[in-house]
Amino acid sequence: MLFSSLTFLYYFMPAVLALYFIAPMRNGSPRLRNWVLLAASVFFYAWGEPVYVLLMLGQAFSGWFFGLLIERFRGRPASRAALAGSIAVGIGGLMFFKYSDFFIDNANALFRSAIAPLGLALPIGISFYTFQILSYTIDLYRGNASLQGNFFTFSTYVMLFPQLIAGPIVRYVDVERELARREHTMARFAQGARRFAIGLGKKVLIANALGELVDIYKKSGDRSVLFAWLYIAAYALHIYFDFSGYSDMAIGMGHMFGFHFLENFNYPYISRSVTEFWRRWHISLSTWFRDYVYIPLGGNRVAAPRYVFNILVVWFLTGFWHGAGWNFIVWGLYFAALLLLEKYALGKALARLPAAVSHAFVLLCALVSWVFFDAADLGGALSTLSVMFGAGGGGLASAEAAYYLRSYAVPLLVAAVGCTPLPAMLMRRLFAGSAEAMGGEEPTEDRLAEADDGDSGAPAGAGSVAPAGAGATGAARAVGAAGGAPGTAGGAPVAYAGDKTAGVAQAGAGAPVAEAPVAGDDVAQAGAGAVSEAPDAAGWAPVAYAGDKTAGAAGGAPVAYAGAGEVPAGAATAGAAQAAVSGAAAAGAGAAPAGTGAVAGGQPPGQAADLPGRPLDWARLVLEPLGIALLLIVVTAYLVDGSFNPFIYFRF
Amino acid sequence: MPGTAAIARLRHIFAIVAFCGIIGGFFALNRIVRPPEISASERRPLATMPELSASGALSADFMGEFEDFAADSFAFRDALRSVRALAAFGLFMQTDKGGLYYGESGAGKIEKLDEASVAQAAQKIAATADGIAALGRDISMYYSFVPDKSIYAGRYLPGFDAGEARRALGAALDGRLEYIDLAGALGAGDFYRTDLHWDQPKLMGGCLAALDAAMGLFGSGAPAAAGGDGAARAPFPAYAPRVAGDFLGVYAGQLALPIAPDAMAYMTGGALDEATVSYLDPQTGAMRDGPMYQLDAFGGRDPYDLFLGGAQPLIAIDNPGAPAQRELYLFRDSFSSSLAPLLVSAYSRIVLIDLRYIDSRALPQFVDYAEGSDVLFLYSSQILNNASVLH
Repeated sequence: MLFSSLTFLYYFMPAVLALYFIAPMRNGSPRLRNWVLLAASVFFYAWGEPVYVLLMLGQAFSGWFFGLLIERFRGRPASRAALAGSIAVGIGGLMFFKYSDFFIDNANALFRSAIAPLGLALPIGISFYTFQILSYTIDLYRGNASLQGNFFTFSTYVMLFPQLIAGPIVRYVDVERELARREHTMARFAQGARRFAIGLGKKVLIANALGELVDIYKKSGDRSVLFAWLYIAAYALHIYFDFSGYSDMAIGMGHMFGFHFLENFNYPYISRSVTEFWRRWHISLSTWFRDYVYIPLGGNRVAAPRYVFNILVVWFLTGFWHGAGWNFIVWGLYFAALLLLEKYALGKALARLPAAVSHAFVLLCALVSWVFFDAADLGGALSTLSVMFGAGGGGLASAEAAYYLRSYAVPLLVAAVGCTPLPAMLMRRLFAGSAEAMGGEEPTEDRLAEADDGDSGAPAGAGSVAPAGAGATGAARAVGAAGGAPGTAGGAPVAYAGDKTAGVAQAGAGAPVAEAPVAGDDVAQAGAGAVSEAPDAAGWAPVAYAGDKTAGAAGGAPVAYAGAGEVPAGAATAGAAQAAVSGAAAAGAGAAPAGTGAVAGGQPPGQAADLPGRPLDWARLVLEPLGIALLLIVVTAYLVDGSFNPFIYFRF
Repeated sequence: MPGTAAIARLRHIFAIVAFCGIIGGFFALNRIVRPPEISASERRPLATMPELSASGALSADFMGEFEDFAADSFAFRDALRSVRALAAFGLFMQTDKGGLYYGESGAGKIEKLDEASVAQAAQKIAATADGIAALGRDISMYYSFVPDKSIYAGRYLPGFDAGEARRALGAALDGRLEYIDLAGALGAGDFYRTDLHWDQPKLMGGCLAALDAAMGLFGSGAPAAAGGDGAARAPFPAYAPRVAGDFLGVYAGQLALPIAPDAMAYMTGGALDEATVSYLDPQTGAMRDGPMYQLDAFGGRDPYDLFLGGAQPLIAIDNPGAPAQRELYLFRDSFSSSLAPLLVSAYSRIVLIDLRYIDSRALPQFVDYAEGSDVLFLYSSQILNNASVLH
């Protein structure tokens, strides 16, 4: 079932929301509501994959069971064997269902054999839930997560429908606490509703329109240079709005149900280096590979040849994760090559170049990468590339290309502007005053600055949020939550405002993801964990690529989110804001002791100055619900009319 | 006066009300509002609630059918479709909506030429023509095609390419049959603004003249005047149009835009009033008489069915007042339903054969090509692009 389907929006969702909120909380425990979520998730998955729901349940059971064994034999070799078993079953299932035909085809080509392909349908979401299960068993083995003894609670985590089929890849540690106890507030629900509506709009109104243009190009025989570039530009925006729109919907629904999921995108197309691009694109996947593959391989604290090997392995796997085809492998290795090139040759040059040049460099790299990503095979990718660079024989431009450029000019323009922080900045500037007084809640388009509402409190700022965008997100969120300086620190994402700072924050925050929940309990421990892990993580982050050793001191970033985590419930106030701001600033310097933010933060709720409402606040009061309603109606109109509505995650 | 905190709380409430109001509101409306069985604007039956079965659920067929049902049964569906069209053309300023365009020349659909399909159609025509030629009779054979109206839109549209269609058909048919250029004889005004079909009264101009020039249909003077070959010819017809009513064509329904309707008119008088029409009954295999213009069909799902009853496998039009014994065998699609009546005065008998509804192998049972007759293969771009429908 797609989020962007009438069945989901007008049958499944209202029914689930009603059942969920009817189910009572007992002593603050959401056990019954978890049951509702589990049942809904099984139904949700079975709607599209009636048979494979058993496979997913089986994989969830194996993860849970191996978790029991890991804990039961902790400190003994059997614990390690249980972890290996968990990995073998998880990866084995993924390999069998997703890659078996790839291996068979290649074996046939290599050995001239004639093994019949299995022709298995790919279980939707298998790549996502497999990684989620593995994050649990690995973190449990490492001691970073607690045992989940209840199979149904664990299954709720694995199968949670908002993020089941298209991510973000939610780690168990990120929702562990919320599975047992979470808050449901009006503010958080409203925040989730706004986020969901915007994600739905991104998917249906923009991504689908651009996907239509992509489809037109593929069906057209026109191979002019203009049409090829139009196609790949449309695809780049299509996949961003499609994927980030889906992530927005997932995160929005998470809010409605009291969860906080990882941020998955952070305006990737504004990056000034490929390294930065990957800090901003599919964050939950890149941080997963960083923490469970790259760092265990040694990260960057190894000799150069080994480091190169580590990067190649990680990006080979990243490419392969996206699809069982050589074009995906080449796509991954292409990024490995670019990252190495930036580390050893171009990194400093890119930083010195005018912003327009470095932006153009990243966009060009990204566009070329999408050619491989979207191609049916390597030959198709090379053919498209040849057309893009004038060797396709279709001329520079054509009447058909010009027609579609005209027809899709507005969607393309909206998408091009919408994939930058500009709309969010504009909104923030417009409503700056109200954001301050409201605990920093920002327009939902700006996910970095998306603050948790004043009355939602600590769980939001606690570990679950912090890992979201790695440090940068954590820091920005803290600032935003505090409402400290709208339009500045809380504005264009901290990461954007200062790449170095963001990089530091990211570097530091990367590794301590696992420590995040702890941070909520014990700030000092969190800080320590962050610092100890930072150097490895730094190898991943761009600042470290650029050779900035201060990245290793990135304790700063965890400070920022540890600080946020320490904000008492309902205390997203100016005081907390200041704390977070100072924490974030300190992060940039890499010098602040853990917990600084927390110490300074934390005015009790209700003590924020309640400024008189301005005319703009009143206008927003009317315009926002009107906007949500209109957006939903227009989206519904598109769905009712049977407009182009592809699902691109079937191969993930 | 409320402060910003109070306003923020109100804002949350309003956001929730807006979100849940729309989601829950449509959820409730979809339970309350009974959906129609047929979409009049789209001229199709709407999907009904699928029956749940174990096999349907396990194969996910049920889910797919349910999605169709959810869309087709949605409350205020037509209004929402209009919202979508207005958003596409107004908000996003697109030049078409999923290939459907609307402009000064009216509404239409961008549909590219499918070369493989055109080649298949050409082969089908060639095979049929070869079969007729094998009879060894004096039969003149012609072919033409009705170009998609998008080529007359007055602006570039990446749709049908008449030149390419001509080349593709000519490669297989030239030498066997004589080509008649209708593409050059037609214009934007010859088609309904809201429909794919041409407008019968408008065919009295260039279209009929082009056919006359190629096939020698009409004499130049008084009734029964001799043609260039000495044979008797009827004069160029002078029929009178009669308006059936307002007509919203298929594109108006698909676009879901508030478009002014066309007026549907049909030509009457002269030979048209005297001609008799008989239709093949597919059930019995017998011919049964019927009217040339089925006025009751005008109020049906497709008003264009007014012309010779719409989809029919075989129709014979007999003209008792014909100046000479001359027959026309017209291999055709729906466009010829409105064209054929205009040719009545030139022939003693016109046989319309629609190979979508009758297999060409069954034709000898019903059709005996007369000596000295004409054969015309006339298909529209829609059929050329979907040649597999020709049997």
